Amino acid sequence: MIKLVSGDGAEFEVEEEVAFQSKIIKDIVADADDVIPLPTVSSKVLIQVIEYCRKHAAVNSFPLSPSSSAAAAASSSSSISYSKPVSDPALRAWDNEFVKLNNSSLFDIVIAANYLDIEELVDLVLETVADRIKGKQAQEIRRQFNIENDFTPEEEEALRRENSWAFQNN
Amino acid sequence: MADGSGGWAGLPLDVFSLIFSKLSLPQFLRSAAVCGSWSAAVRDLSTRGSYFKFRGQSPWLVLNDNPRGDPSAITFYALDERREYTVLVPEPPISDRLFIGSAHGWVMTIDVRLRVQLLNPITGAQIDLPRVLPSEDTHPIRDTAGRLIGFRMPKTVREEHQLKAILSADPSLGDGYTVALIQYSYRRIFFTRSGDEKWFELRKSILVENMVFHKGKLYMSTLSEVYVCDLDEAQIEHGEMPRFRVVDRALHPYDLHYLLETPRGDLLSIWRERNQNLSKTMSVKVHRVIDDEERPSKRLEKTMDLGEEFIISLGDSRVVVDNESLSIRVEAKDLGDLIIFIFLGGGDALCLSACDFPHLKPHSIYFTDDNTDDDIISNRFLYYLQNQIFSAFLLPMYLRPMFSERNWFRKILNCGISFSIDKTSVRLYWQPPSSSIN
Repeated sequence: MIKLVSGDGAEFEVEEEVAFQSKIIKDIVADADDVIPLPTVSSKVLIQVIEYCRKHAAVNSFPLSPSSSAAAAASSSSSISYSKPVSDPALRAWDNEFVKLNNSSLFDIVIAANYLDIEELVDLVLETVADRIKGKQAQEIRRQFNIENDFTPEEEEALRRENSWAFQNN
Repeated sequence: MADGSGGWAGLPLDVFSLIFSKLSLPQFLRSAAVCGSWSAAVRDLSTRGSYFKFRGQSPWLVLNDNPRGDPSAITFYALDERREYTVLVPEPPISDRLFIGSAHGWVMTIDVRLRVQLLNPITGAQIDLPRVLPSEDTHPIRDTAGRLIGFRMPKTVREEHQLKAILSADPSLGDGYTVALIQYSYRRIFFTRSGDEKWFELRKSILVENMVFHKGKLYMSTLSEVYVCDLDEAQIEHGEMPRFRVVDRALHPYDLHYLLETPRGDLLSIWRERNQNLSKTMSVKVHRVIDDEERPSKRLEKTMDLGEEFIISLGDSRVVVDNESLSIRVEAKDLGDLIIFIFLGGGDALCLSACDFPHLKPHSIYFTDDNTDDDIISNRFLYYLQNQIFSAFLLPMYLRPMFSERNWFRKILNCGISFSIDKTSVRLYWQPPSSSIN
C-alpha cells in the first residue's frame, strides 16, 4: 500500500497498481518511501483522481499496462500525441460520466492529472476541454471558461485581421 | 474559478499544446482571440514547427467555384467542420491555376503561363518552382463555366496535360524538400529540390501511376507493383534511375491502385480489381507498407532496375499473380478505429477520421467508381472491413462523376449544406498541415 497525502493534510491509502497510474508517483516510489506528499493537490481533487485510477487499474488489471507505457514511449519520441482510445466500451461510458464536471472542477483535475502525469486521464480531460472549445467563438469561450478579455478593442481587431478567414461566419 | 493562479487563462504551455492539438486549424487560430495568454500560446505553438502536431486532420476540399467571385481567393470546404472557408491568396489569380497536388499544408499549382508554384494558403507564403514545360503558344482550356480544366499545347496529340505533384516535406520548416512531378501523358517524371533552378528528369520512362514521399523514401506504384527507393539526390541530378525495391504487388495486372498515408503515419497500398462486371466478386487487397531492409518480407523480396525490360513484363506472364487472391483478401489487420478511406473518382483518395463522421462506419473503405471516362452510369460501392470479411453494398446510382461526387458528398458524407452552387465541382483537396503553420 502507498500513502498519498493531499495538500490539506488528508491521507489516502491506495494499492500500488492504483497509485502507479501516475508516472510521477511511480518514479517517487522507486527511490523513496511509501508516504507521498502531494502538496498541490487538494483532498477533494485527490479523491476524484484516486477514483479514476482505481477504476482504470481494475479494468487494466495490472500495474501500468505495457501498452500504455509503449504508447508513451512512442509519443514522446515522435512528439505526436494521438489520443489512444479507451477500447473497453463500459470503461469509456464510465469515463464519459466522470468528466461531466463543471469547468472549475475540470480545471482542478486537468492540473492534478498533468502534475501527476496520468496519461489516460490527461487525455480524457483535455479531450473534454477541446470539446468545450469546438464550434465556439472567442466570446463564448471566455464565458464558458470564465476568462477575462484583456485585449483592447484595437488589439482584438488586429488579431482577428491576422487570420480573418478563420473568423468568418458561416 | 479554481484559484488565483490565472485559471484557464494561465494553463502551462504543455497543457495548451495538448488541448490545441485536438482542435482543427481554424479553431486553433480563433483561440488566439480569447485573451492575451491564449494568444501567446497560439503564437508560441505555431512557431514551434515540428514540436507541435495537430490531430490527424481530415482534408479540406477545394471548391472550384468561388461564391464570392474573387479571383484571389480559394474557397475550401472543411469536411470535419462541414463549412466553407474563403482564404485570400497571392497572385496569380486562382481562376488561372490548376491544382496539381497538396501535402504538408501546401498546395501545388500550375498557372496558365505554365508556372509551377507552391502555395501555403494559410500564411500566404508562395514559392516559385522552376518552369517544367515550355510555355510557347499555350492556350488554356476552360469549361462552359469558365473554369480552367487544362492546357492546349502545340504539336501534341493530347490536349490535357495531366500532372500530379508531390512534396516530400513542409517548406515552412526550411530547405531540404523535394517536389516530384508526374506528367501522365508522356509518363515523364521530374524532380526539383529546394533552391534548384531546373527540374531533373528520370531518363527512362516508367509506367508510373502514383508516387508518394513517406518517411524519407520515395514510393512509386505502377499497374502491378509498388516500389521504394532511397532518394539519392546525386543520382537524380544526373538523371540516373535510382535502385527500386518491390514492396507490394497487385492481385492482378492492371488493378486500380492507391497509395495513401494515414494521419497515424502508416502508408497503405490498396489494390482494387478493375471490374465492370457487377455480378462478379471484386478483389481488394490492403497492405500496410513497411520498408524494412533488415527484415524484408520474403514473398516480396526483390530488387530490380526499372527499365524497358520491366515495362515489357507488365503484360507478361512473368508477372506473378497470386492465385490465393482470386477471392477477396485483406492483409491490413490494423486500419485503426478512427480511420475511413474514401476514394474520389479519378484516383484521389481521402483519409478521414471516423470521429468527424460518426454516421459512417469506422474500419471501412468506401469506394466510388474510378472509371471517370465512362459515359455509363457509375456504380458506387461501399465496403465494410470487419472481422476480415468484406461485404459489398451497392450505393444508389448517380450519373456522371462530376455530379455524383457532389451528390455523394452531400448524401454519403452528410456535408450538404454549403454545396449550394450547382456548378461546384470538387477535384483536388488540401491536406491541412500536421505541424507548423508558419
